[in-house]
Amino acid sequence: MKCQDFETLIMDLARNAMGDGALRARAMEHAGSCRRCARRLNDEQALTEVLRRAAEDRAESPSHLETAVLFAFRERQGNRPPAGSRRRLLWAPAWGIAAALAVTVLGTVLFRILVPSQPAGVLVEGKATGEVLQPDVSRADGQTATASAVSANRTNDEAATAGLAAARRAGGGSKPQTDGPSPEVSTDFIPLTSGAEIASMESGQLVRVLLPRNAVAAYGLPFNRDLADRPVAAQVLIGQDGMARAIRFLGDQNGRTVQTNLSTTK
Amino acid sequence: MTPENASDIELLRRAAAGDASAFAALYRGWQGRIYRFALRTSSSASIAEDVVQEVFLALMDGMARFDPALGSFSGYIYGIARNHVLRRTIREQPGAQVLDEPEENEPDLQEMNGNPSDPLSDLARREMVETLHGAIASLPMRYREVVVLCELHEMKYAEAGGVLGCSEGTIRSRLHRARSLLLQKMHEKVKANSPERKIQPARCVS
Repeated sequence: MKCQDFETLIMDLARNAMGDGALRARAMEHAGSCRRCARRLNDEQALTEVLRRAAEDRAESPSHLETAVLFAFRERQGNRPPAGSRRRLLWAPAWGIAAALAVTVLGTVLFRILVPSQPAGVLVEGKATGEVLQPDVSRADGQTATASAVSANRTNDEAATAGLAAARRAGGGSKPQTDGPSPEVSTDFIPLTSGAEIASMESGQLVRVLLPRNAVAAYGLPFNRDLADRPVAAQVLIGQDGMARAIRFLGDQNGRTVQTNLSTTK
Repeated sequence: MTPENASDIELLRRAAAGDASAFAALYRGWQGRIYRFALRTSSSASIAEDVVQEVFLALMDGMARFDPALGSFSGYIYGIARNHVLRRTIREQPGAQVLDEPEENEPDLQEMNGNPSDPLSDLARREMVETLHGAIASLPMRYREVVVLCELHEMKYAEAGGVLGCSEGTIRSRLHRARSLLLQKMHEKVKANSPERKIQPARCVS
């Protein structure tokens, strides 16, 4: 056997993965007569040993990720239509369009009846100066207001305030950053349980999760169907018992995982 | 199909039907492997954490469509993880060696092997593994993936080929090259740590 042939076999030799016993014997015979190849084999065997030690590494993902992933699974299951409703789903868009048209027509009629007509000049003035009319308020603010409204509808319990305020502080302020093409999902914290449960929290964790984008619709928030295939980032406030207490959507799936111990003062 | 694989597929089937406990079992069975794969291929704990989440999120979307006749669950889930690692690494570490390195820029194997020595025995056990992890992180991605899958995750060549989309022969040849590069990098590390040491190249007489 030549050194070149030995070189083609050395990896299997070192990894103890050579099936052909006769070939192995010839290779070992060569290593016994060639100092250089013997050293090569020694190096390869040492590398194999270190690699095997490295393979014993049993590093695992942080435990809070499990909570986040299982939360996402439950969210998804919660948003999934029940089995057998596929036929109804086919009609859903048509019914939705009809309902939207009806609301629009009704709203226009009511608007014309209830609101006195304004001179067109006001609108022109507003657009020109940018002071009277400011329809383009910050989208993030607008959505925060929307989320707050949803939040208020879900619970009016004032006791939730302390826990959520602490979560906001831990999460880097009350106004989450927006990034990329999905500012429609930046919200304030939305309670998932009663306010009393949030107020009674002594500590908790803020966990960043990625959710299917249609999860935002479950909270009555705008849902950009163009981005339906991209996940949306959210922060979930997890109590000591592992239960999710509140959520806020970030609209930034590039953000880093946030894990913060909260200390709410009681 | 291995019993473990059968079990995974059964869990997947139940999870697709909405069974949260099955999905949790699937998560617990796989999160460690996916995390370590992502950690060793991206060298970033934060990317690895995100990849774990994104893999299981993708699994939620794709579990009903998974067909065991088309490939193993292992290949499927590692494949998802690999795609996410590549996407994140390219996006967040634009200077990293993600793309393949031209063969001609790599050191010649025989030339590299002209400095045989026994440096690994000079390192403490823990330092060796740390040095190895550093060396793996510095490999071009195509070699890094093969080392992580075949050596650290102890996959067969065929299984690794399924994940990486290449033949067993390609996996074998990449692993051979990867191991040579690892040895070279570890030699360099040892030399850097003990500059006074003179390594005498041996001559091949056969």
